[in-house]
Amino acid sequence: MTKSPVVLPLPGLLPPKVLPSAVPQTASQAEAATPQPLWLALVFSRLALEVHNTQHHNNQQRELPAVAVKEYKGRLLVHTASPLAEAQGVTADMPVNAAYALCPGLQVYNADEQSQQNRLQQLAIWAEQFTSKVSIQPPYALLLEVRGSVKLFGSLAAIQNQIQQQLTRQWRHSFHSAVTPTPMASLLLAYSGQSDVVQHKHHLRSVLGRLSVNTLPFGLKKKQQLRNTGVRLLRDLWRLPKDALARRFGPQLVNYLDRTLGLISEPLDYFVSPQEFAALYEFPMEVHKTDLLLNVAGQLLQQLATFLRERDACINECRFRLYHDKHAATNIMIGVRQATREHSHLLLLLEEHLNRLSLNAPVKSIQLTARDFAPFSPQDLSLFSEPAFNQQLTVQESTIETLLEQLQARLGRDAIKTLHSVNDHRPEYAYRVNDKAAKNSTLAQQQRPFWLLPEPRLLPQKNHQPWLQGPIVFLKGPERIEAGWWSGKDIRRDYYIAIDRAGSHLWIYQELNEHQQWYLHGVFA
Amino acid sequence: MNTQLQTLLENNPQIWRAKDAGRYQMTGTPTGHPQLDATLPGGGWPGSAIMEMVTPQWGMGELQLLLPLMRSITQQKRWILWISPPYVPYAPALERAGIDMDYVIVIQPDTSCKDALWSIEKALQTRVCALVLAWLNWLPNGVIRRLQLAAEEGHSLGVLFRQHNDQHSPAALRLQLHPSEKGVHVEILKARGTYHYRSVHVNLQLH
Repeated sequence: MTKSPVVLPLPGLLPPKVLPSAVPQTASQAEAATPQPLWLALVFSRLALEVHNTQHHNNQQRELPAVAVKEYKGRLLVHTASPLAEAQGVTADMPVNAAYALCPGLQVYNADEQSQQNRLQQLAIWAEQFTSKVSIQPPYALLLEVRGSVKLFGSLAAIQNQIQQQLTRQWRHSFHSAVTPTPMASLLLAYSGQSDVVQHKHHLRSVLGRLSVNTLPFGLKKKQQLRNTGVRLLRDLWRLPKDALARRFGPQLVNYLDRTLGLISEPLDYFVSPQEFAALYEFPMEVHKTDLLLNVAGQLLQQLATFLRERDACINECRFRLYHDKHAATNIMIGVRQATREHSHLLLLLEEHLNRLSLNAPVKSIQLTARDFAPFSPQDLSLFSEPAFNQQLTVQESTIETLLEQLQARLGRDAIKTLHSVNDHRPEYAYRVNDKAAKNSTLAQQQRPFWLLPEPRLLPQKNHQPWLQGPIVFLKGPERIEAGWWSGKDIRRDYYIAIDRAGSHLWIYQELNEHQQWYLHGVFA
Repeated sequence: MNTQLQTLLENNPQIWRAKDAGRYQMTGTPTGHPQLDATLPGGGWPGSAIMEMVTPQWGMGELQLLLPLMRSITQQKRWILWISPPYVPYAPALERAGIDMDYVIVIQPDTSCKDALWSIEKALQTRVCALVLAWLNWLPNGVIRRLQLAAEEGHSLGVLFRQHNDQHSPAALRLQLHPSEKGVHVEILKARGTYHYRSVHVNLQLH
């Protein structure tokens, strides 16, 4: 990996910075009609080092000179040096022994490609809060399309400000950023350490012109070739005819320059955030108590909530996994009946789970995973905190529906019933379950009990009189019900209202057939 | 009384006297039974609370007592949830008594106890459910306290029908029903806001 050399601005040759206000009006008006993209490049030139930096002891590392090293042909070479190390003369591609000689207290880290890529991906996820178009540019740069976000954040400066603050405070990354209408130009400026803001394409030539050809992402040989022909700055390249350049230095150079100036459009692979959330916390020591787990789990849920907010998504379930030593991991599934992204709500549910949980082994680490995101719809949030019952019928409907949904989810579909009466003289057929349409009762009803037994209960008899833990006293009756002969389920009964010894008012009947049995059919409550 | 003691009692707000208890005005929902209203503190059923009705067996007029309340709730288009009723609530009779069955939801009797308790809590928390009637045998005091909180959250009334009298239940109102000739004899076992526990006879037309 080549380290981009420091550009030495030649005094006197630097063009004055062109301000956007000094643009010829005609051109800017034409561009205003079709909004151009605006690319913000973030270059993390010390990523290899800062990957270690943020994970461990930030404060200590700031003080000590450090390098990230990489093996090259059997030798360990300095890949990235920290500012302190650079101040003592350590430079990139220097053998690590030489670096030690220059700087005895050197901290040496391995430049791990994989962890850099992972960090870049995390940064891309983080960057999605600023724009939906994020592109990872290996080895250590990000591109963000910010034109679409300017209105949301108020101004470009506001976006840059937030990026600056979050990167330095939370992530503790050093970076260079530049904003131009083309991705290549932004990257080129940021890689060379310039933090320019170029709003319009036609300013690109003048702003890029002052860069040295050394900053171009080509091999040393080609750069030497350019210098040999007297081309030192990009401005010199602008002056040369394209076909001659192509003939002498190959078509890639011309192609690159055209892409940088926006003459050829640049297709980018946008970063697609992973459709799964996973966060792991490793405890410094094994944990036996669930209340300690809850604390850490709360932090993980907070991360999940942020993750979901960045995607405008919510979840129906998430899973905690508690890892033990020499034991199978414990799984805790947390399911919600209505998709949510509320951190406190999930925490409450987790608390209930943890209270019931008994740990059979100490916990080493805890992982939270979530997938199957649903789009977030803020239907729970009402404009007014408490709907008035008599007025807001729609709100009310929705809430009873959610209650029934919840009950149904837990108890099963058959557990919840509505009852309606229908026209039938036979008591047991005079109501329907879960059939709202059936509701039309026009029968002039006799007195009926509030409770009906699911099946009439046969009463024992003493001296041809019904008996229920004692004699039964008749109060009213009989009321003859004789119907249903057409359906094969005909009934011929004499109904009485009676009172038993304990004082319950009963609805009993006697079958009008050869058996003359007595039955209990209902209770007046 | 000693004048010094008198001044001490009157000037010290930290001393609570049982005599003052009656001064706290509680507003209850009218029961629809004048005799009962006159007896209950607040002049009616407690709002946002758990109430227990102890009856030696079902069919004492326990539903008749709640009938005016149920009628007004369904007229307000709020829901009534019946959880684990011992028998089938007979729709023709309830409709005849003026209850809109569109607002009555019944949860099956064979629901497990834990699920039933969970359902009670959920329903009480929801404001659209104004009244929850539940028939449960197993009800530890901690559970009732929790239901009490749910009822306060949802501004709803929960009525637990029980066959045994639990002396230490934390419910806001506990009534014992005794059968009588023309209606029901209501004995107040406990009522929040008063210590005058009396009995009252309520005339009911059971049939």
